[in-house]
Amino acid sequence: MPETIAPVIPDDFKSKDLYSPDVFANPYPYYEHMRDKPIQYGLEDYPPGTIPGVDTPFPAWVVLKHAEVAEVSKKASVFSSRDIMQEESAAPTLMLVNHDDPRHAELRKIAQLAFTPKRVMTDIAPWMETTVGAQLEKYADGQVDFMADLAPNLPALVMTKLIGTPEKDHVLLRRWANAFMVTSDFTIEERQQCNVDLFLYYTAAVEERYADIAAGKPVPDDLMSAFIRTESEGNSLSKDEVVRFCLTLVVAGAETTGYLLGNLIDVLVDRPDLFSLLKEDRAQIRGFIEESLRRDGPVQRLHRVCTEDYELGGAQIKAGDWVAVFFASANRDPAVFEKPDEFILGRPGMGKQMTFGHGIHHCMGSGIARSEATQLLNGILDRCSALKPAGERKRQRGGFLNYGLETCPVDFIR
Amino acid sequence: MPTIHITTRNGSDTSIAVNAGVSLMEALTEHDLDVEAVCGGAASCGTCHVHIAPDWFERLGPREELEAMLLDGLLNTDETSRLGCQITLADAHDGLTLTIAEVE
Repeated sequence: MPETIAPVIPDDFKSKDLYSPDVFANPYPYYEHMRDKPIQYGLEDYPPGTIPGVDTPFPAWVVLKHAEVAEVSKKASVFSSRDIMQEESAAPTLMLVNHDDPRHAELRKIAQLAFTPKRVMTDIAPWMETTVGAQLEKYADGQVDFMADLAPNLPALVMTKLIGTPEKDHVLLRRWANAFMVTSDFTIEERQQCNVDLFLYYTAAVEERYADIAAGKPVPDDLMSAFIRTESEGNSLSKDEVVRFCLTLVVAGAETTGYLLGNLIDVLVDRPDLFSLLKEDRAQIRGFIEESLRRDGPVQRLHRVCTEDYELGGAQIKAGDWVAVFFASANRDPAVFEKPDEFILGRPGMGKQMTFGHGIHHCMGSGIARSEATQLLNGILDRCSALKPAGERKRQRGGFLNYGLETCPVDFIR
Repeated sequence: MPTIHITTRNGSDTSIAVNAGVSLMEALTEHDLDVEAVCGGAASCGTCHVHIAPDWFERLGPREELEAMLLDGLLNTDETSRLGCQITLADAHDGLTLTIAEVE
C-alpha cells in the first residue's frame, strides 16, 4: 500500500484545507483529524464536469460522520442533487445523478431495467468473462502497470457493450471519463475539448440510431435503443436526454470502476495470504470486494444543495448552501466500523458501507461494478500463482472525486 | 406491539417486537439483521428482499407495479418474495414469519 507514512496535520487545519493534492492521495488521516470536530463550512471543490481554473466553486459544508452522511443521503427532499455549478459550466449536465424526485424516479425507472441482477447475470456476465479473459491474456503476464491498461480498459469496454457503441472506442471513453471526473492532470484546454468530444460522440451515435430506427433497420437490444424506445412509448425522454443519459453512464461507471479494480489489486499485492485464500476459496471474493469498497472505495464525496434551513450535527445549514457528503469518511468512521483502517475480510456490518451511496441516488451500476471486480479477480486467480509488487505504487493527486492508484507496477506470476 | 419471526441469512431464527406503522425494512435494519436497504425505501435497490412464509403471503396484500418490476429483475426470488420497504407493519401482522433473502 503506498503512502503509508502518516502526514503531520497542523492544529489549525480546516475542512476547507482538504482541497489539496496531498489529501487527494491520502485523505483518510485528514478525515480522522476532522471527523469529531463541528461540521465546518468553506470547502471549495469541483463537481464532475466542471473545470478548475474556469468554473467557480461554491463553498460547501463538509460532512464526515457516518450518521450525518446517512442523514443527508436519506433526506433527498431537503438535500437536492441539482448541480447549479455544473449547469452553469460548459459541461453537459448529467441525467439521474443531478435530478430530484419526481423526475428522478421516472428516469430511474427507465434505466433501471438494464441494470437488474438478472440482466447483469444473463446478458453481461458471459460477455464480460470472455472480455476479461482476452484482456488478461493480452496484458497480465510478467511485469506491467496495472493502471495503464487493465484497470481502465474493462469498465470502458463494459460501457461500450451496455450502451451500444463500437468496442474499439473504449480508449476514447477512458480519456473522456478521466477528464470529466476532474481526477487526472489534464490542462484546462484538454478538459474542455474532452467534454466537447464526449458530447459530440454520443450525439452522433444517437442520431445514427434514431435514423436506423426511422429507416426500419434492426437495432441492437442495448441501452441506447432502450432509451429511444422509451421516448417513443411516450415516457418523455428527449433526444438530448438520450444523449446525456449515455454520457452519464460513461462518466459514472468507467473511471470509478477502474480505480476500484486498482484498489483491489493494491491489497492483493500486499497480502499474499489473501491471494492464497481467495485462490482456494472463491466464495470469499465477494467479501473481499465489499471490504475493499468499504475501506478503499474510490468515490470520496458528492455534493448536495440544501433546499431549506436545516440543522445537521449542530451546524445551521441555510437554504442554498452546498454540502459535500464524504461517503469515504463515513466508511472509516470508528463509530460504525471497528479498526476502520484495517482490511478485515468478513468484518460484520458490511451492509453499512456507503461507497455506492445511500438513499434514492444509490449507484444503479453497483451490480455491474461488483461483477467486473469478481470476474477480474477470478480471471487473475485462475491464471496466476502469485501477484508481486514490481515498483512504487502512487496514488492519483489530480482531484477529490476518486481515491485510486495512478501507477501500480505488478508482476503477474503464471 | 406485534412480534415477527425471522430466519436470517446465516439460517438462525430470531423474533423481534416491532412498532406498528413502520415499514418491515425499517424494522429489519433497526435490529441490525444485515439488511442493507440501500435505497431507503424507494423500491429501487432490492436489498430488503424477503421471502414471506406461504400462509402469510396473501394476508399482506398484492405487490404494487414498481415492486413487482424490481422483483422480476432479481435472481433469488420465489412466489412469496416481497420487498420489506413496501410492507407497512400493523398490529394484525403479529406472528408474521419470513426469511431474509440471499444477497444478489
